[in-house]
Amino acid sequence: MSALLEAKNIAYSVPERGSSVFGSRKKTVLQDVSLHVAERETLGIVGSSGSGKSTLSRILTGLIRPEKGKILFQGQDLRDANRQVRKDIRPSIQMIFQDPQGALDPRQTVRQIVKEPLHQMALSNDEKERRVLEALADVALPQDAADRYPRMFSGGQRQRIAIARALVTRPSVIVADEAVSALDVSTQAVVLNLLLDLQKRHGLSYIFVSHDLAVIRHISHRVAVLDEGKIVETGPTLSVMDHPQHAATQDLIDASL
Amino acid sequence: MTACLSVRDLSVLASAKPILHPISFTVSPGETVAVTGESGSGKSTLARALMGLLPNGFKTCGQIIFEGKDLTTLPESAFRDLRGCRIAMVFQEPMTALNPIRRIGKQISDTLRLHGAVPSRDIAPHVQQLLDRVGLRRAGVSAQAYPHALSGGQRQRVLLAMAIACKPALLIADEFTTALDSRTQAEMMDLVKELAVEHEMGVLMISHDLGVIRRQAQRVLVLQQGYLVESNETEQLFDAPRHPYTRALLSMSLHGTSHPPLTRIPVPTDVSKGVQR
Amino acid sequence: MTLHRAPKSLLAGSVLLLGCLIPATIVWIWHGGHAPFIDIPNRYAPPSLTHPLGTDPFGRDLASYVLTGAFNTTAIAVLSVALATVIGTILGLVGANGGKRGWAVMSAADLGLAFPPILIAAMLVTAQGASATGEILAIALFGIPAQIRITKQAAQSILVLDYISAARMAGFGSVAVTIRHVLPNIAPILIVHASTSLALAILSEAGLSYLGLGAPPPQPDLGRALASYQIHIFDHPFLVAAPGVTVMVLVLGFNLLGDGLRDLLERPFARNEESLS
Repeated sequence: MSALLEAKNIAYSVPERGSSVFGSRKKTVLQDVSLHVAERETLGIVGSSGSGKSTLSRILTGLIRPEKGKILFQGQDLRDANRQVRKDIRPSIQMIFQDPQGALDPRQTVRQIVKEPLHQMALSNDEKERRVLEALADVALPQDAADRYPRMFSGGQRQRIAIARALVTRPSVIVADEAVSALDVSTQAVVLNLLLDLQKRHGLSYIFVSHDLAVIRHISHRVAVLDEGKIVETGPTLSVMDHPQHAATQDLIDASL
Repeated sequence: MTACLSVRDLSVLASAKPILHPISFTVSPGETVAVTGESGSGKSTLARALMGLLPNGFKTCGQIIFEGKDLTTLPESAFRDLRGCRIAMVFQEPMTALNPIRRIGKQISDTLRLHGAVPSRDIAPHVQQLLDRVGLRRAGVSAQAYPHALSGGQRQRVLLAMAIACKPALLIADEFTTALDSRTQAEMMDLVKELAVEHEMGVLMISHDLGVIRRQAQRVLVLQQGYLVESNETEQLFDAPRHPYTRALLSMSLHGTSHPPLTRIPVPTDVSKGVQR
Repeated sequence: MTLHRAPKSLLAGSVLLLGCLIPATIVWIWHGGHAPFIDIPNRYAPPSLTHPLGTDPFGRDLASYVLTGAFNTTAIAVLSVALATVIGTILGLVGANGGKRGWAVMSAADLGLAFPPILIAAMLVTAQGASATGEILAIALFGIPAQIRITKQAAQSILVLDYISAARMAGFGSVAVTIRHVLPNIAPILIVHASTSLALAILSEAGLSYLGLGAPPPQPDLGRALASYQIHIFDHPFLVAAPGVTVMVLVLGFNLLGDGLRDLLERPFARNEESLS
């Protein structure tokens, strides 16, 4: 299986707290992180808070530029690619965020929210409109949802809107950062089912980032364990869970039950 | 053993609309009772009713007996003396509960001074003792630190130190560990458990996380849309749930029950509709 | 929006302001923006049907004088607040976006906050003589640093949210993100701040012209009226009371309006927190 999205030797650091504009010490967030996800595959990234998993997901989606290393999409280095190619590739990688409150602009209608990622794509307005309705149907939201505001929806429905926004560009990879962590048990189950359905229906790849081992175990084919900015263990989900090789993995397993 | 908290037919009305239907339960010293349910189940309403912190326009009926007094009829001034002293609380969001511009040692000693729990010359050593007890000294956190310099888990430990400062008889923890990652969560839960035994303190834990509850509580109350649908021993609840809603919740949870990976989780269609009693 | 749902303070503020500013506008247009006619033989006339508040030392109708003054004061306040809001908001947004430019803006704002407004006004008057323009600039300059800080703080709380990240992923640049997402979401805060700034601007205007730093005579002005008639406080109390009460009504009106707008505009966001359980 060839890699669809690949990260090679990613490093990232931030200025240490308390350092000034003049001369600053750096704190390492990620160190030599390499991973890949194949077509129709789910890679779970698990780690406790402060392990750097949020930063990693933002680097994978291009929101943050890594200090070292590169991101390859279908073998193509995004940094070397020219503007046009980048513009073409960008819609193929989408993201679902954690916070159901902060992920949707309260002053925009669902239609405006879901349409936003199509902004730079060369599509007619009719086509964009069609895509929006299609994405809403994909996540089983009623058509009349389009003209309502996020506050009129429950937490689970808001997360569906966020998923519809990620689907509207017909991406091949979706990075989900703690996408179900803030949801109730039943809503979590419904959203996880939806994500599994969508993967089958559209042949999606997921990079699923979470601190919750139970969620990662349920949805991932392969798992990478992130600890203090480094990947300490990676492999098929069940073999990592059943035969952890690293102390950090064992800690996470112990904590989850 | 006498109960440290005994709730009898407590109900809460919001502008004449019932949001919590009559509920009765007791919490014994040293025991942890969990209240669970999904959003809208009334579990936070229950917590706030017990602490007398319901917003204006909310009305409670029934009795909340704590140390021989009915809290529902207690004047606000007497309630204020109880809160933070005999009944302590910890919340989900540690940053809003801590004063950002006061050192944590000062904030803990403020609590001690406010309730006159220890003579003033003993306050400083007592603060050190508390910091030690919640594991902050071991982590190298000094009483001189400001809240922003601490991690989420460490802030929760500060809150816990403040909560147990006066050796309360009852601790109410409202989604206390929800914002923490699972490893820190586990550490915090073990700590609360130890403290409960040590101080013979009853713990009422509000949580939507069945994994946390299974680990922590001796008994569980399951709320659904304002109704108490099941009250059971934790082991029994997880092994042989009595109410269909509890069964549905357990079947959907990824914690404790094992679903084959990468398959749909069975979601009962009636789970979010109406209450079955 | 139905009237009974509007906050009481909003209604009270609107009534005060409209009750003062509608007659003020009519009188201002009636006199073509000038002071009422001088009628020396008729000076210090007591209240009568033709002169409801009597006349001033120049025989001018006091009611018309005060109303025209109210119009002028409000106009100067509105123009200076508009200027401060536009400039302060743009600079605040630049500050919120960070980088070297943002740092420079915020440092300048901090420096600006350290300057006493009276000093700014005195400098401007020395530079170009007392005038309404100088007054507008002085009050605006006074308001800009605060406006920058408020805008920056509000914008920063929006910029960390995930929908901003989503917009960036869609290919929007900083300016587009600011216009699409940040401005609409901080608008309520800016509107409320503008409204309470108007109250402060009215006070500043009255204060500056009381000190002789405002528009020169014969332009009717409330602050100057107070300064020149204060010696008549015992023999002709209306001369002092009329401009004084007018300033008070305007300040109170804008403050109440600001409070009401805050309740009204920030309510949709509060609603989420209100939902208990």
